[in-house]
Amino acid sequence: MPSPLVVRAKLRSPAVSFPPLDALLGAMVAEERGLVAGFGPVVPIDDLPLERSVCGRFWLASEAIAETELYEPRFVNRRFPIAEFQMLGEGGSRKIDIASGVNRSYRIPTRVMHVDGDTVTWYALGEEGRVRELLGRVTHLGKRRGVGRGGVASWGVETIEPWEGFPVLHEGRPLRALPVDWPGVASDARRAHRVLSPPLWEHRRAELCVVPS
Amino acid sequence: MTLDIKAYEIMLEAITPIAHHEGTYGNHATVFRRKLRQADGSWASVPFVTGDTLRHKLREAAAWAFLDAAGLLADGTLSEAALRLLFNGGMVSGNGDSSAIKLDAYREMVDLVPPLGILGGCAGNRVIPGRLTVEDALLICRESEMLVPEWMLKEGGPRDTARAHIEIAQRVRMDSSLDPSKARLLGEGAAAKVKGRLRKSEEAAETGDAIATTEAKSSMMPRTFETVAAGSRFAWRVEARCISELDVDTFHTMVAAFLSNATIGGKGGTGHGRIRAIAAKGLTVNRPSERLEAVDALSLSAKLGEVFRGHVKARAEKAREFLRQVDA
Repeated sequence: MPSPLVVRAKLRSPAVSFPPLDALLGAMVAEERGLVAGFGPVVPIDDLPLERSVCGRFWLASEAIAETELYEPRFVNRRFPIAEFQMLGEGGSRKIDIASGVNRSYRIPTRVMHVDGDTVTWYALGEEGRVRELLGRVTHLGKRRGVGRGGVASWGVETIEPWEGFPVLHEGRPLRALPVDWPGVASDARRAHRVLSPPLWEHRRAELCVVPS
Repeated sequence: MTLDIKAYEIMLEAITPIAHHEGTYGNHATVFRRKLRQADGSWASVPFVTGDTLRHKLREAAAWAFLDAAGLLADGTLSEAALRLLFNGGMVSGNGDSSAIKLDAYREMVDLVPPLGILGGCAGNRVIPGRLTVEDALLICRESEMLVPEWMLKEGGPRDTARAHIEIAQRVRMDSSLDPSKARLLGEGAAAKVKGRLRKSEEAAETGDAIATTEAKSSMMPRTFETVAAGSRFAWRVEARCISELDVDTFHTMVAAFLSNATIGGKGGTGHGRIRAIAAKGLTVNRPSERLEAVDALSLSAKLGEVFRGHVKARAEKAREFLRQVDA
């Protein structure tokens, strides 16, 4: 029996971005099945521990809710391994162009964010036990997890008293991407093209939605 | 074997000063610092070694271990693409068709070059997702106490402020032409040029002509830089999502290979940046029944590297062929 849930992640390192809850759970289910993003056909994941919307187009879970308290600048660098190439590279290559083309070195500015109270919140209608089990395997959130961004110190999954429109709408404001015909959405809600259900990287399924501002 | 999330918390110690710089202001280089929120809501800037740096070091360690096991170290036959793949993670080249890559192709690639499965990268015009998370190594000091694992605080002893760990060093690149004994080695033309410059410099100083002073100045270059003092300790966590015994051994091999001769940051040529692991604990994240256990960071398992080396050696020819043709 699905319950109204509030999910909280307590962070221990700054993050670059936060995924919606259905995407996070979808990634964990995909990992369980041994699927690798970008390889093989896209397999629909239809057994998330979440309730589906009445229209069946998306899962009833919100996007991440977090207030940014502070941004910090960071850089992403790449340098062609010249020293290694001198040792191991094939003799035919006499010149490496590191100013342009495939070997170009770069230093791209980016930023990380510290969120208020180091806490990220999601709302969902789903099975508490299974949600807790899947999230237990999530140790980092969002982009650049490979270098430690969005480290999670602990997860909290609790039942909550639902409100009108729970968990995707709050006082007429969407808490996730919703179809434009979704009832109860404020007329001035922002619109953008979004993918409604995971995998969210499958952009060809994007459609016009009302989205959180 | 099903999914195991293997994590190691490692306490690192700087053997020599660490010169891991985030930027240079004028002639002064500053070490990387990270913002940490304090209990009273204020922010402290604490030195750290970026996860990006440490992840790259693990990739390098894995690449050397792979090339060694495959017998490719002595060859000198790697293509640019192969080198980019092993040491930089490759890149999406835009060549060829990336629309229909089979899962079997991924498995074959990872079978031939096991570090690719853990580290990820780009090969065959396709992004291969990684399963390794390398966190920042955070200086253990008063300001970082709330983020450092409790066992490290206990074993690490008393702590000082972040500022107390920073040293400022000054170095000068000398101008040999100013040393008469060396200036004697100059040829006639060069000597005249140096004398002319010195005369111009003296005249400019006497007349207070700033532009002429700049034009005639020597190539002597004094500069200062911050370092994190030797003996400083860092809290580091590295984690891999392993789906086979080979994954586990590849992960152990790269961590142990890096730590066996670890250096980070710049100025390695003058001995900066040497670090060592002084204590480590391991756990399997998705098995809460397994507690944090002390491990030897240099030999993470009894048969360290055996599975990895055996696997790579058995497929050395195929791996060589794969690297010869790879687009990365």
